[in-house]
Amino acid sequence: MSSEGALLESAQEAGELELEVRGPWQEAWRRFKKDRFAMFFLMVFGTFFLLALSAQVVELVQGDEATYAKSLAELGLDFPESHAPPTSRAFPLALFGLDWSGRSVLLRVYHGCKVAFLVGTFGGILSVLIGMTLGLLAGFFGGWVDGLVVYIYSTVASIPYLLLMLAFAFILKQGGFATAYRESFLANYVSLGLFNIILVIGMTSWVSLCRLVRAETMKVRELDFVQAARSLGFGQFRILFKHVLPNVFHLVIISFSLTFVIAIKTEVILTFLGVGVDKEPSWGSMIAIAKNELMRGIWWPLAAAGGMLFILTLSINYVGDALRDALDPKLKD
Amino acid sequence: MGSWGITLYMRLSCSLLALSLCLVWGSCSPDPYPGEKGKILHAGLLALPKSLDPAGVEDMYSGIIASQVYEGLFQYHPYARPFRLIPALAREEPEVSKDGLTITFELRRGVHFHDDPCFPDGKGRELVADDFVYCFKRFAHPAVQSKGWWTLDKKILGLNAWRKARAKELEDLQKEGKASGSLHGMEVPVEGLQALGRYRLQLRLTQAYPQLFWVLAMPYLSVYPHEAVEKYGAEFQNHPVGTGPFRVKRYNPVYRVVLEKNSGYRTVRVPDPRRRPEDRLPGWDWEKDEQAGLLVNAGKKLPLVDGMELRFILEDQPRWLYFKSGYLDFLIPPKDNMDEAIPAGKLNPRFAKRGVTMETVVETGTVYTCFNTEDPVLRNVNLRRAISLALDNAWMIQNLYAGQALLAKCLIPPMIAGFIDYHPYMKDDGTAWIEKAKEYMKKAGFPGGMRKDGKRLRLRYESAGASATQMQFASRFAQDLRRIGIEVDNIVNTFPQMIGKMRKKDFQIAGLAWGFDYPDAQNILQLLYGPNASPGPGAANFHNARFDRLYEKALTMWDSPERTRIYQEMAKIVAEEVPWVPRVHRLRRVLRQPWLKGMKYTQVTYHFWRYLDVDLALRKKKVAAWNKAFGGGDR
Amino acid sequence: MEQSLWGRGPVIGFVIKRLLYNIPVLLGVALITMLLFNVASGDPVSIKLGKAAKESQRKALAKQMGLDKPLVAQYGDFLVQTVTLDFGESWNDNTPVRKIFLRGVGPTLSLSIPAFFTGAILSIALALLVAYHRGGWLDRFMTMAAIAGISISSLVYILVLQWLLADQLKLFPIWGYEYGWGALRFIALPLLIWVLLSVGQDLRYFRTVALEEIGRDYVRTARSKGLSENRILFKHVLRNCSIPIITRLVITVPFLITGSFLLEIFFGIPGLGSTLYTAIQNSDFPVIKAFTMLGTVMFVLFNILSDVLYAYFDPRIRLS
Repeated sequence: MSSEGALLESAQEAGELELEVRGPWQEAWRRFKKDRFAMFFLMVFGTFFLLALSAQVVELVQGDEATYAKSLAELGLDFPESHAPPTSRAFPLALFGLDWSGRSVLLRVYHGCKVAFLVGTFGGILSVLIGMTLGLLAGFFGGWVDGLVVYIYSTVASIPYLLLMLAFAFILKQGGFATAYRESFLANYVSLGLFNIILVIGMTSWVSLCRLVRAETMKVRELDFVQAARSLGFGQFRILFKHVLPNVFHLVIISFSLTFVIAIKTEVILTFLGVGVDKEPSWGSMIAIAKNELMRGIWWPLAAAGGMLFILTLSINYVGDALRDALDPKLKD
Repeated sequence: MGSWGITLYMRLSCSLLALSLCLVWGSCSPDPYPGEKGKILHAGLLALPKSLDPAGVEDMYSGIIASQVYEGLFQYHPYARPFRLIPALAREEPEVSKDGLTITFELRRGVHFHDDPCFPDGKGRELVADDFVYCFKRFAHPAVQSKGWWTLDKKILGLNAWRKARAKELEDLQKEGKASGSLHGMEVPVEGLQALGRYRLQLRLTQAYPQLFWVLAMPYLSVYPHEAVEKYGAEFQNHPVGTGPFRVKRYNPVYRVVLEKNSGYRTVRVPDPRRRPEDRLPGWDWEKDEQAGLLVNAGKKLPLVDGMELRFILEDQPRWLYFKSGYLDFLIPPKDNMDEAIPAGKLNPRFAKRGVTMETVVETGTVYTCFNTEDPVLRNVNLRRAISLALDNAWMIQNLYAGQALLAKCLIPPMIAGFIDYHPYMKDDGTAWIEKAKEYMKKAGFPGGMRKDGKRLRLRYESAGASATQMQFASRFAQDLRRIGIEVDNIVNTFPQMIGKMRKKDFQIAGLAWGFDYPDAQNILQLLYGPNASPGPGAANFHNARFDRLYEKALTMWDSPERTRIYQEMAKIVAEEVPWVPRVHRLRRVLRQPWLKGMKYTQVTYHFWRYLDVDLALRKKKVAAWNKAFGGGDR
Repeated sequence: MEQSLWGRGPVIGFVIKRLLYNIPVLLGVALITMLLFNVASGDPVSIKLGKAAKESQRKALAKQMGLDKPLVAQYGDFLVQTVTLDFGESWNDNTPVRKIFLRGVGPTLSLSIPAFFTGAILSIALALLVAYHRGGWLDRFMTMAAIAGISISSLVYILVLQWLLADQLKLFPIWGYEYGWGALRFIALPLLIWVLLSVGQDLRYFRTVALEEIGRDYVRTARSKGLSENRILFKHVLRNCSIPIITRLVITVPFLITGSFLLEIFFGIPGLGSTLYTAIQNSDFPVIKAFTMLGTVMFVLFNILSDVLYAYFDPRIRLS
């Protein structure tokens, strides 16, 4: 607890709150650690995160002339200008073969990691922020705020998801928004297509979390310690963020892991449909192009991108499951 | 009761098993034409046809279908190159007045429309000259909104005035809130469009129109009975009634069209130059075609097959696999399958062994990169030249066209009069010319790609359609320009968005292609004629006084060496001013199954389709051998 | 069921209340759809006329299409269309939207309905099997397999299976469709993929549901009474599980209509999914509008149905 807790009248109450807030997290972590698979996949996830981070650093260092955009021949190496299978020559960059433009598949999946993490992390954060905020407000204040929030999410949830997503994606690619974005400094780091996907995911996938948080907040609101804090005359927002939020935060964590996966998969589909990432190498664009390559026996770009996608999704899914079991023990038998 | 759960479980499992068995039984053969009878031609179209109403036939795929069902006054000869027209519903060459402005056509007698419920007794009525008058008027009617209006715009005496009057009426009707879109005023005559008796049709022109006969062979101006338009109304586009050798049996606009032969088709025979001297057109090297086996059906009566099944297979892979399994009778291999189909420019021996043959045709068209020359940045001619120099067309041909394209130095393809082998801002071998491009960047005021304010020059490249192929073109364009320091943003549009942007001149660079409507260079040069700038069809918004003067001069000239010289001069202006960078002329490699007979491919016209024939027994034998389950058989 | 409030309960009142409540939702959806596509749809007049059109021609058409009216009036028109279920004609090829819908609904349902039932039966059966062997190797294996299954991108599934089963092994047609019973051979492979895609997800959910139920007191009581495990599982547990299972299944029904557009595109099934995809690419607003509103209405109706069913099966729930 922070030092602002001076208003708390007795240490005993503080202790109780401490228990409410910290206890479950430590307990959850203990439970989580017991699952050896979960720990393994957490490590896999961590490795991917480090890969993505290093890819971002490499790109920032290289600036505009990022190597992933160049073919091995352009980089001054004696390699063909298009497809070469993985085993053709023993050279680290040609480990996974070359793509249609003679670029290293290995480099592309490596930089694709970065796109996956950007989409997953920021798409997830945006979605969680919207869902959590609206859910908290609705559940805590009730009344017309609740009515409005429920109306908004019922409306959004009623529109067929795919249509909503495609419509957003199409709009964001066009017109004033796109032009403004291209002029902004962000465009130097994150392409419009990538930024769009993050926005689209954030804006379309917050509903389920919002529902859960709202329901949970309603329950928590009635609990004794919240009532106590209220009777002590604490400000509404202070109660909301200090006392209610920590008690619904496990939902946010679980939902974040789900959204992360949805975001990565959505990137693949949107890019395949031509409204997704267009500039950075992404697993989605690799799979989209591989569609026409597989039947010709060119399997390595698909295998590399599909494989990376599979491992990352699998690890998040498993970790997410373990997290849910650990944080929400009701489901344990 | 104790075994209740087990029973339920067993039941579930059994039903599942039965279901899967059903599925396996239902699908043990990969044949996609179950239960087909008769001799049916199988083909795959790359996109959905938009409309089978002749006035609305604007895309290639509607054109292919419409060209089998409908006929016009003229049609293309199926084999003669350079292209030749032959009379279709016209009986012979028309009479042309001395000034070239009055043209009288004699129609064939005894031609009947397809049998259709739109006629009182269901029997097809005889075609008369009034039908053409009706169809041409309907084509011009503002309520029909034909995209082909440019073909007759300002060409026929009184037709523009007639159209304007109908548009006025249409507006009045709308103001009164009455049903719009109806064909009113069709009874009002047009001065230059008259039926002289039952079988004579007269056209009077406002100015000499050298392209008229080409235009009369286009699907826009084919003939149909007014009864069908009246009966089907807006649905006419799905109920074609014409005079052609085939009629529509089944049509699902998103899946396929099935055509059946018109048993009442008048006697039209496959050209038989060996036995019939009148079939020996001057300029047609028929002996060569005969040696190539194209004339196996010479002298036979059309239609040669019982029907056609054309499926709309939009995805490349299934289309290619269909062909490989023998389910399509011919195909242009998708570019991604080129190195399998035609490694090193020669037909894959594996296919050759199967009896597949290949035909190579240079497309009558041009793929080009279009600049908006009114854009504040791209107004700079030296910048356009620098970009032209930086583009690596050779790489693109090798890797993105799999070698299936010719370098285009001129916007006019080599087989069309007006072609010149000249482009000062392109290397002869098509590779990028970076040093010179950098020089021109300096001249343009962007040394090293830097703007005056020290920022890097950024340009937008627009492409339409979201396919992986488009992505590859766009990303290579960006790669090329990065070498001279220009940063490119790739923008993917839907087709309507792209058209909208061009109309509003709201773009910088666009990847486009043009396919000729008829084999005359005027058809592509019109896109650079100043008055045709956006919102007209000329997206480059190119304004060059000399070019415009030459264009106007050539417009009323008949094909002659002098007109060709003018075309060449215009092509030279385009090469020097670079409103476009012509990139390539695509090569069409058509693969023909061993059982397909009589095909000489082209994209200018679709009339050759009706001359195709199939050896049914051979097809059955081969297809069975190629499609054994678990991958056996001849692969 | 004996103690259910069904019959006594104000079912009709409940349904009417929910329907009324959803009217503003539909209005909101209509507004969002309108705004999204009015901004996004490029230039509808160009779609119809091509780029060579004259300005006067364009104005006349815009008027005819009602595009010169203010947005509020267009919104009104849209609402009228929704109520009368008459969305006019496609901008792309002038076919009435109703016809487009009727043309596509057959192929879509011929794939989605068998896939839905096969998937549901299979995943329920597997879930019970797994719950029966809970904690054993089968359970662990299936749970792992399900997680692995849902971690593969659907695109990769489709690409690889189409290549393997249709192209390499020649077991199925690669592409195409036939109306009537002939559809079976064409939908077999997409159906297989659909089931594979959905089983992983459903199995996980149903397993959780079953395990939750098994953990309840009455199961322990029944066990202590000496009832056989089979009987407990298949009689009591399955019956009580049916509530969440049915609700979940009912909610997915509206999605059967839109079908799987990826499968339809890849396998050439001329259904609503691929129609919608083409419509979006062509900015064919009337079709998009109709499909959005239809999807929304279906979603709302089946949500209500699922609530009613929930109350019907679960005596503990009151309709309110």
